[in-house]
Amino acid sequence: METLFSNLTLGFVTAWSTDNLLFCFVGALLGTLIGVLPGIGPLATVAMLLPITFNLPPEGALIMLAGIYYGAQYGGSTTAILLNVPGESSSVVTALDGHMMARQGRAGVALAIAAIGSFFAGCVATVGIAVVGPPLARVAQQFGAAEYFSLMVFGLIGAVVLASGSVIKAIAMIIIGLLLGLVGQDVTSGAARFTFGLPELADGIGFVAVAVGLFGMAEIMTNLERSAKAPEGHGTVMKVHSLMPSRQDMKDSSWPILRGTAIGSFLGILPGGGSVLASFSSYTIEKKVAKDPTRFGKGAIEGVAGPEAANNAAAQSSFIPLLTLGIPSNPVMALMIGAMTIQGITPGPQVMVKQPALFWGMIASMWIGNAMLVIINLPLVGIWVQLLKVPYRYLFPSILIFCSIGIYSLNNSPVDVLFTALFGLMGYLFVKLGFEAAPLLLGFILGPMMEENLRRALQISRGNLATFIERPISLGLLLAAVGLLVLVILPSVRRGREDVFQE
Amino acid sequence: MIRLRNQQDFAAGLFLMAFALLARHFASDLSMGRLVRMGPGYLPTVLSWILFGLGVLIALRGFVTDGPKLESWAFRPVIAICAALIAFGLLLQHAGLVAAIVATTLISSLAARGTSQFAMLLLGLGLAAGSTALFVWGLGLPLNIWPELG
Repeated sequence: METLFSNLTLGFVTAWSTDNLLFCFVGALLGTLIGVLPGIGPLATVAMLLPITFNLPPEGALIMLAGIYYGAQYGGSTTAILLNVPGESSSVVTALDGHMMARQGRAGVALAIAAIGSFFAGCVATVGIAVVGPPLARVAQQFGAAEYFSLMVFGLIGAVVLASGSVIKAIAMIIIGLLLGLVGQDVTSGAARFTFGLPELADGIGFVAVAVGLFGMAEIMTNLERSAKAPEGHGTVMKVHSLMPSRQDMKDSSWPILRGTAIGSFLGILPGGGSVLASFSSYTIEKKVAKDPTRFGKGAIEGVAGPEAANNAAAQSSFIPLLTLGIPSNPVMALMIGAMTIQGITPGPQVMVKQPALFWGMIASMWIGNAMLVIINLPLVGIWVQLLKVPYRYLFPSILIFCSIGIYSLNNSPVDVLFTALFGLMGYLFVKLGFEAAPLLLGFILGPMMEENLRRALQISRGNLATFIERPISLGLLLAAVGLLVLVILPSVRRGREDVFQE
Repeated sequence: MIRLRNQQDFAAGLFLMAFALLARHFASDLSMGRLVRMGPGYLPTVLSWILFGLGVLIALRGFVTDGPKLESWAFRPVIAICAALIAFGLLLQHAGLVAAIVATTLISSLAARGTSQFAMLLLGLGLAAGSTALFVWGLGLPLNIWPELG
């Protein structure tokens, strides 16, 4: 308990410096700014804003990225409520009742409750990370190469199973990601792999080019395609009247927020969990426990409060596996790993030990970031509303330019910009073939780590593959991965899963 | 009668097989090594075989399950966005930030029909001014603003 307190104190001292507060603020602001744009989800937002953080010191960069992530999520909810255009799958739920509230002239209340719910969930989840983090990191420090390899297998399979869409296609995407991750000079032998004689590829494909191309650019292309079919189908932006929720509103929302926080914090830790699953589950539960379930979908405040809290709690607790095990539980966390690597930090249990200021500073900044979101968003709602009225044809060239400058300036390399175009094309192809690009990114990030651990494990065991099932932790993780796969192939579970993603 | 019921899966399977074969081909020069000391070619080879297998499965699934037809491509935005990025990459170092941004904006505007080129030129100039102020003067990135002479 005492160490918990001193750790958090260290964190707040780090995060409370003028610079870091500024980074946190700018991150949350920019994240909301981009996240508010219809059709651009948190993943694309983080991918596109990544490059601007690279010139900052490590603490500042990670604090800013975390701010961008929360901001983007909150921005997505704003769009969902005011415009009924969910920017990404986790705000689909918010749009259901949030937009109905807006139509009843209660847009301001919906936005305020979303902010309050998110803030409360953020506070709880921050403490959760501080409590769960250190013991989990101690466990992880016992891990050898075999355990790490099995953990990554478990993480990848979990991410696939809990995500939407075809499982087998998602596994194929992981393999492509792993292959792309192996491009460049092999660390052990020095041999050049898949470099086609290009010196720019010796260090591997730039991960920013992959992320921005697959998510940012492909998303712009599909958005343009959609808007060409339904010209300027922008819909009407709802007016925001009063922001203050009534006492009755607060009373109605308090239990949903508590429940949402609990569900979200738990689901966020699971591989592939993250915010989508959390907000769907919370909505389902609120509907089940409600006295009058028919109110849902017609502007029930519980349907906004619960999922928004769950969504934010999950966003936060998904940092736990990242910071303690070095394993991303969802694509946004994969981006964070990429960002940490570029900053020279190897994600994993040693971060907490070797760079406590960084670790605890980041956790404290999550709380500060959440507080800032409340402060930024509620007074600035008017600006976001104006932004929603800007036609997309002026927005996307601007996004394109900022991305290009960021990608270029990372290595001062024009080749990275060209690769972004290539991966944009690839991302569009994936959309047309019904592939989801998110598992690819996980594979791409984990590829080199998996190969290294696999090699080391087999070297230690003298080439005996049985090492993965003879070591108990490794066996447990592999069994869990197999169990997940079997579960998802069983027809009954599959049906349930489809229901969840279709509703 | 055998009938293709899921065009999308069939095409996706073919794509995976092609990708796997390409990867296999480019990994063929790398030494395999043995399990105890894996060579650089070991994992790429194994992965490309797995990918090939998955491709076959997904393609076959196109005959047994119903699924969507292949969607048509919207070539206009795809080509315009890629061209705009390529133009930026090629122009930035020698033609400078301002020229690269204006060119990129104008090319990217071709992605959407019926945009006024004059408005886009203004947007491009505005973005160029803003980016120069923010990235070059503000953040101090080492970018050429104007074309390199000579």
